[in-house]
Amino acid sequence: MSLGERLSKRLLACVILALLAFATAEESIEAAIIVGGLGFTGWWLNERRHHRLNAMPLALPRWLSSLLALTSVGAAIFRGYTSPYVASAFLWLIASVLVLKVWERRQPRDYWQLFTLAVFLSIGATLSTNSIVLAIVLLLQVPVAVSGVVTYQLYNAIATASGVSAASALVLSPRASQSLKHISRFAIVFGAVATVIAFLFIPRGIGLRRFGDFAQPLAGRTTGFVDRVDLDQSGLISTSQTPVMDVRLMNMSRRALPITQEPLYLRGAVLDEYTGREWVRGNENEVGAEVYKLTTGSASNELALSHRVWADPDSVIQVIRIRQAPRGEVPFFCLWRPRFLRVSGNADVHFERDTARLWKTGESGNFEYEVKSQPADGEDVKLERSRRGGKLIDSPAVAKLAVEVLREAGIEPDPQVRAVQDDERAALALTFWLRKRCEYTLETPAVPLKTDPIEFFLYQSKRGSCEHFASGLAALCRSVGIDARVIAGYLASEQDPDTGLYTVRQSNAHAWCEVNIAPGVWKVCDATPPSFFEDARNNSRSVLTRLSQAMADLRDRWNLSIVAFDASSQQHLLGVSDRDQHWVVVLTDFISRGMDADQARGSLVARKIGRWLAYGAGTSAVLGTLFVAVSWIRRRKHRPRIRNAGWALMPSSQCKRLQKALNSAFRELGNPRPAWRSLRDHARTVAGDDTELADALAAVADLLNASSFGLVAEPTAPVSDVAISRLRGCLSRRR
Amino acid sequence: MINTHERPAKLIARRYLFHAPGVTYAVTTVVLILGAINGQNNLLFAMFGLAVGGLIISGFLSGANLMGVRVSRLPSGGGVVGQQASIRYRIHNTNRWIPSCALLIEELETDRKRVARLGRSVGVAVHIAAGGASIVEASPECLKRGRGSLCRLRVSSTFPFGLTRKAVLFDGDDEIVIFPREPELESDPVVRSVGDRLSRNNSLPTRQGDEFHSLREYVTGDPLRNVAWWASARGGQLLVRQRTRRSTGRIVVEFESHADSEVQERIISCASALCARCSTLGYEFAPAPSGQPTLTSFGTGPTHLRSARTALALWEPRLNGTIGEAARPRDAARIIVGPGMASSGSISGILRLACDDAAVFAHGQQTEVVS
Repeated sequence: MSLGERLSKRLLACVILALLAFATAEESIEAAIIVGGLGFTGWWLNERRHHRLNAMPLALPRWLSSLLALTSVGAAIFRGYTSPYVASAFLWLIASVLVLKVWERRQPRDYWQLFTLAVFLSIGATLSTNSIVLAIVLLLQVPVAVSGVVTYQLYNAIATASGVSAASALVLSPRASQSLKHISRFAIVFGAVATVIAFLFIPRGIGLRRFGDFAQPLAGRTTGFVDRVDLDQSGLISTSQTPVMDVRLMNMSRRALPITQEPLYLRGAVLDEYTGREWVRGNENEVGAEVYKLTTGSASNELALSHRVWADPDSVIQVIRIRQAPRGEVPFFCLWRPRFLRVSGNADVHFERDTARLWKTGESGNFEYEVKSQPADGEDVKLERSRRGGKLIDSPAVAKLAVEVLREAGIEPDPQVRAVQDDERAALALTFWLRKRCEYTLETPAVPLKTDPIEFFLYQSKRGSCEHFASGLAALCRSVGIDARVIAGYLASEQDPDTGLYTVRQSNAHAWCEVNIAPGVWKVCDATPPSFFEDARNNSRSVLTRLSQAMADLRDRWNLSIVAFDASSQQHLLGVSDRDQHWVVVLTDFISRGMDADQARGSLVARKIGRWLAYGAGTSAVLGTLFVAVSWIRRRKHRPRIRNAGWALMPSSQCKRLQKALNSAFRELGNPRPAWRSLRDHARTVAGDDTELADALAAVADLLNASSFGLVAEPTAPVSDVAISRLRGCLSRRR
Repeated sequence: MINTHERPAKLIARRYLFHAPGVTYAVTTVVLILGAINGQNNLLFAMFGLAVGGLIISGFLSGANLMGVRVSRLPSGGGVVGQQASIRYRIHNTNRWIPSCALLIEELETDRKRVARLGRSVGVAVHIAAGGASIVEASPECLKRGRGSLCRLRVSSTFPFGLTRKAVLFDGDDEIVIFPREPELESDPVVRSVGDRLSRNNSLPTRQGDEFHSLREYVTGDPLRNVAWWASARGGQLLVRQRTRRSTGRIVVEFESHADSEVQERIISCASALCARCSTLGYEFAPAPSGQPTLTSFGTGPTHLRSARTALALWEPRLNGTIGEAARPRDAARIIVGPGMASSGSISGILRLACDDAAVFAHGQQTEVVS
């Protein structure tokens, strides 16, 4: 294999992997197909024709590629300005320029630029995502890129000394090939070692979000929790087997609870407002939410949420570990209404007393907490009708159905007449009716336009997911004066028999209903047929599900060990003891405060050092720029004028025309002339066996030489025209 | 001094040139660590490690690539203006473990005031095994007649990743003779003017010495000692050896001086072409600046032609009279090459060529000659 083909193959592999990284980051197969298809076509028409078929490359003209590049830049600026995902705009820009570059005519520097763009694209992908797929792509790309760059350096050196054609045609000796392989392998192994060292030893937790959202990866967020129920879309429903959290249940003596077959309803979001298409959180509740700042390492990481006796023997302690919680709002999932909370780590905790919704805001990463709650809110509650009542669903059809169902069950539908004690019975009657009459499916039929999805579910399709069942029940309850709300959360059913640990996956996302049976007392009513739970258990036994779970576990391991590797993991892994850890904490704190002067109130020294460092860096940058500029000017000034030392060049308009035509022809033939090589020699090399082309090139070269080196008058325009048009004719024939 | 044997160059310095790809790499590495810190992005931390590892391995490999390189120049045959000369080097990699790859060998101009006679001279050594050697050839374009001086040599490489260009500089004085370009002469002024007159009565070609020329049939009067007996026995008829005769014609190729350096170059080019023509036709010749002693002694043949060409190549107006001290014989014909009008004629054995229109130089070959 010639050196040109070798380089070309490595470059193609590098570009393909970069585009794969791009598609992974954008999570868009369409983008991958479009960009990859365009790139591959460009490659086929350009590079392959040149190397394999020895034909003229069909490259984009320079003006068109420049125009497209400018358009790409404009689009990227617009996208970056209007969209919050600046990294995505950057990725699209690099990807489009990469594809354009593939379509351009190839010169040695273009190979280098393609390598650079491919690497930049992969780096850009890393800014967006940290998924395991991207890691695999990068793992494949690194050796390809190293080998390609090493080959390119060889190619470029030969092209500099002997021309592009010589570099492309060179076949390396077996010994040289072996040497290159050894060098590449050595570099890859060393790079891998350096990667591991940097990954393990660079201190974490310093300088977080000093530059806003830059390089905040979106991937790694595995909770996938959506705090709304959209009946047109399956927002909550997921088939992903990615683990979301681990749950351990203990009694008040902190002993593990016995293994049970009953699924656990882990509440996440309380959705009490129906907009006609979806259930969302009511805004009025959030206004009055209480905010607590909990910090680790002190007693202030605990929060009592109720005055009731949480030491009740029925209370359950739930130790929950959310894997890779995203930044922003994350609910504290728990069974029933939370009574007590203890967090490990710093968090801003928000508590909505009315709905007992509890959530945190803060940084992403693993998050562990302990919450205590009890099954029912006490039997001593005096049953009376809630004054809140809930917002009625404005649907006579739903109300009519609810009335019919309750009358069938022998319960008075009118809330004014019905006894308060019958509310729970009424809710259960509606629940059983739904379980009996409606079918559970994930393939929900499309809702026609201008049709209420709940009405459509209850009257026409009678098929739907847990979201439809929960929505239907809530609507039916509300239509007969029973306050009800939809709860979004997870249904934990996968329990390790040895440890008693529940593993909750994304596919366990569930929606159910809570019915108000007394002021502040809400009862769980799940209208979803029991077959759903059986399926949830049986699914975990099928081969496909197991395979999917294995993949998800792999992803999870990746997320836990690599993506979520933080300061505590680092200290744990490196075995830093508490005493050793002290100076690390002091140092990181010092640096951190030095980086942020506002926070460095207590550390004037750190602030001063930071400022002086900034001054030093700025001064160095200015001096460095000046030094580079002066060096460049000096080098240009003293460059020997070898061209004017011998036969003087006499540039004239005709000379320029001839020169331009000749250089253009050389470029088009994929072999630009090195500065030191004579025109005729290079023309002969480029033309190869094509004698007609050789003659045409030689004619133009002779005219140029005659006017440049001789004492004859420069060629007249018609003479130049004849030579140039002959050359162009030959080139078009070759095309 | 013209190089006639291999000369090892002396290692004088090492250089590190940080160029655009290296700057891009460094900036990218800084952005990587900033991004990693800002986002606590572990994949970026890993990539930063990889980038730093690349930087270290690049420094190590590129250093080892050049550390053991030793260079010596091999003798050169010179070059002709407008054509490519050949400069050869022997590159030796003394490193016993690491091979050298992608080495560029360049001649550097140390004296910027000196006229550059050679174009950019770049050779490449693709791969030199550890402890091995390789011969590399560079083909610079010859720009101007004269003594091309080679003094400083740079061996550089961007291998393996192109982040920096590392270079080692060698010093070793050497020279290469750049001969004047010789235009093709359309009509043969030597034959037309001088040759006819000198060799009118003898059809035998003139050579230096009585060398064997051919066999011919015996005619009455031929001395018996000229009979080739073996050939006669094989051929069945008497054959006699015919010898060349010593040249009787001597030609001084006289060229005029001119203030314009380009015109001067053309004059010398024509003189060189005339010398070559004289040599082809077997005349004894010697080039001489106008009004000065000849640059060489009289002679003919390839060796003498090379001497004449070298003398013409090295002749400088300032150095007139310092090269060659041969007296000019009175019986020698003179061809004067000088600037002037296109008219040419023979005036008492002197042919004057108008140089301005004598040749049209093309880059690499001559296309037209008007005399």
